[in-house]
Amino acid sequence: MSTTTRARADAVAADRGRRGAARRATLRRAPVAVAGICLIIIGWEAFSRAYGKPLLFPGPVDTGNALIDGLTGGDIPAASAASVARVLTGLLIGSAAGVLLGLLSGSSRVLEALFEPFINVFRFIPPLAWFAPALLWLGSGETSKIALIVYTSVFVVAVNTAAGVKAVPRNMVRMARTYGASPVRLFFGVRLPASLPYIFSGVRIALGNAFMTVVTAEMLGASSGLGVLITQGTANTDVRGVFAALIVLGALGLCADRVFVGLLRRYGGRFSARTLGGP
Amino acid sequence: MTQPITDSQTRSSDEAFVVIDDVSFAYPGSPQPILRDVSLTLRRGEFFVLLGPSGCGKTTILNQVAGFERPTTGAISMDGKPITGPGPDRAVIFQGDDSLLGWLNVRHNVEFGLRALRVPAAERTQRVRRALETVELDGQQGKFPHELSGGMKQRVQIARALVVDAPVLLMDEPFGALDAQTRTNLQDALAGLWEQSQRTVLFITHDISEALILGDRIGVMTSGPGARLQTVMDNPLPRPRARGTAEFADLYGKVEGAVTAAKSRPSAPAGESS
Amino acid sequence: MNRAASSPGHWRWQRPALNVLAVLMAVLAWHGAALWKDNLLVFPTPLTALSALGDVLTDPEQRTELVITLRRVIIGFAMGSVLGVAVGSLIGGVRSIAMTLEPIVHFLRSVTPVAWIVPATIWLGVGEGSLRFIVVYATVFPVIINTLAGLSEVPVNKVRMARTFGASRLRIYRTIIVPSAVPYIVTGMRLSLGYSFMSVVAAEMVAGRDGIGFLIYDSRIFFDTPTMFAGILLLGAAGLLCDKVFSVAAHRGLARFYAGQVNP
Repeated sequence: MSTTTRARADAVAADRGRRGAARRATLRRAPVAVAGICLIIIGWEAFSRAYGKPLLFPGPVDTGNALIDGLTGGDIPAASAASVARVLTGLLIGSAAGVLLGLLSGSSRVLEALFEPFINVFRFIPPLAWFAPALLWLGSGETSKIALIVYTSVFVVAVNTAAGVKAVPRNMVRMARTYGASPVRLFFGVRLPASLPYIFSGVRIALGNAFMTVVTAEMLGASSGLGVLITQGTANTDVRGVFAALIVLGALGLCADRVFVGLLRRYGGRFSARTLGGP
Repeated sequence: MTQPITDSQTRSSDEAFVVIDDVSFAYPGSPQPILRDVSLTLRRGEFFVLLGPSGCGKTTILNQVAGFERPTTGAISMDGKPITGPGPDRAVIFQGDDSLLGWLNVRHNVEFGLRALRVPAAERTQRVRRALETVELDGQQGKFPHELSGGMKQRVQIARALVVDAPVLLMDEPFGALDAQTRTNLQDALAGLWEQSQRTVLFITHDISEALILGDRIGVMTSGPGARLQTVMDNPLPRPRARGTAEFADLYGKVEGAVTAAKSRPSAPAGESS
Repeated sequence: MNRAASSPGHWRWQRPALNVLAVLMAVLAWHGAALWKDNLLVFPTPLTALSALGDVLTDPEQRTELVITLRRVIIGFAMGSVLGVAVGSLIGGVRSIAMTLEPIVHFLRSVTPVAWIVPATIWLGVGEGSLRFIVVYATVFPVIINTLAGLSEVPVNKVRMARTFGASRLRIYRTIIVPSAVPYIVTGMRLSLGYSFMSVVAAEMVAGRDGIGFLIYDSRIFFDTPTMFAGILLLGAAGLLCDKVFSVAAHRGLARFYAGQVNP
């Protein structure tokens, strides 16, 4: 026993050492990376100055000013809140429906064969294709935009969930049956937690899709949101505001993804100790 | 093919406990049977080792006894009652670690069977603690499976099987993926554990010396497909057993001879080439 | 031992039968709902949608829409993939460059491609150039990111083998590291193909004057709902077909890069 424990401890220590070395290497290169990013920003400014039309091709300084104006006393905070609220509502509904659909089709071959044709075709119909019918049926208010986000999340989550349910190790299920676990316990105690890593990665993809869909839907018609700020730039032929909105959009998307992964690492790590990778 | 039931110097009684009666098995739609006419009687309290080359269908026999799969022909009974499905009277220790629930810590993994059997909480705590002490994991209660070494993970599986007091333990090459030293340690620990309890064990392996250290009787399988049980040999070595004694070497030679003979013998009747 | 082997033989025809049954039930339900709603302008029946689909495919004016959209997808996807692999393998080879550009790549990927339509139309004008820019933008980042991921999974023993033969770093990169990343690159390209469909439709709706996306959006103005549905069905079919063609072609053509992997 003691030998195995010691061997394990040695292995852990060695692993830690390797990771430490990698981190040191990253730190050594960090100044190069920072310098590189500065160089790119200077190049952008220089190019913009050479172009000479700050309204059409603003540099980082003009964009930064527009961003600060928009954030302090401008309409960026309200627009971001509107977009994020739509994303979260749609994502929540879509993920819940997707998990249910995926669990059903992953657990029964008959249901899987019944759902299969729809999941396959709808996956390839872009959410925006439904924009016109959604306007027609649900009106031009919040419902139609949220419906598009639900649509863009539900199939990704369903496909991933079904894959997760099917990938539950057979021995795990057999073990539970050996101890006479009831179907309910087998489902909630084994199948569902074992498929969580797949469900999470589906939701993560859906999150990205949701940001893409909401902005386009807002560009096509909404009273508030980042998409609206972007289309206003066309009307005014002022790219500074557009760039500011794009930066906020990218930052929000990136942050949402990081927060999601962070929450997973913090609270979901044990469900996916080996499966959750990614940057 | 009938089994010669010989008297042995083992601790087990002669009472038939698990009876595998003329079992054949083939997957539906597959013309090639995996097992052919296997008959075997496990006595109450004995440690039976099934020895054979990989892919010969040893695990299939274990799956039939566990109730995961049903024989195509023939029948299996335990204590006179036919086996129709898996049950907590036959706990399984699986090959590899994929039956451990990665999101539960060691204590909760061991507790899984007790919860499924609706054992009250106070009793659960006590029994889990005792089982973990038995496998020397009492310090690791709060760890998660991915934080454990391979040997410790198999100990968790053993504790999970012991804690429900199953009269039969089915072990499917449980130490196959471990390094040689850990394997030796666990073999000795399992032999000690078995001597203290009165359980019937069906243990699958392809490792001859593992069979010699653990088994009261050793069944040798022919290679598959269409595998049969070639012979059953008694293992008279006194317990606790030591590797490397003259008797051990002698018996090793005999068992190895039987394994080689089983391999070279055509397992399927003429006309059905594999 | 696996599920397929233990499944009964009749599953072979049961599954397609259930597929067909499900589609039939859905079409019937659609028809029933349309009859119940009884307003073709809001909710066409499957038959009217199908006849509109026939019109879209045969009418000399509308027939070109599908071709136009597909051409945008294919050209944009090809340009974006080539650019993505090129940029990915260039910056993946030099760690300092990768560290400089990776955060920028992740940031730009998080900006919705369609949002660029506004600056793109201001710079490139309304028309083909802007639309192509959007599709290339949508495809390039998944390919870059997957290429980088593939390049970072260094096949250590293969590299050591090459070093024992005295191979230069450039040769190792070119002959071992990049080929090992091919499965990752293919995965990225397949993702990108999906994104190119998504973005081309959105871009055509926002700033296009032709194409299926425009057709769908435009038919809204005339309450031509059957044509709207025809466009949606057409997109689904085209997307599915492109995905199948791509994955079959990639796995046939690049089979040797998948050696040792079950079911690429």
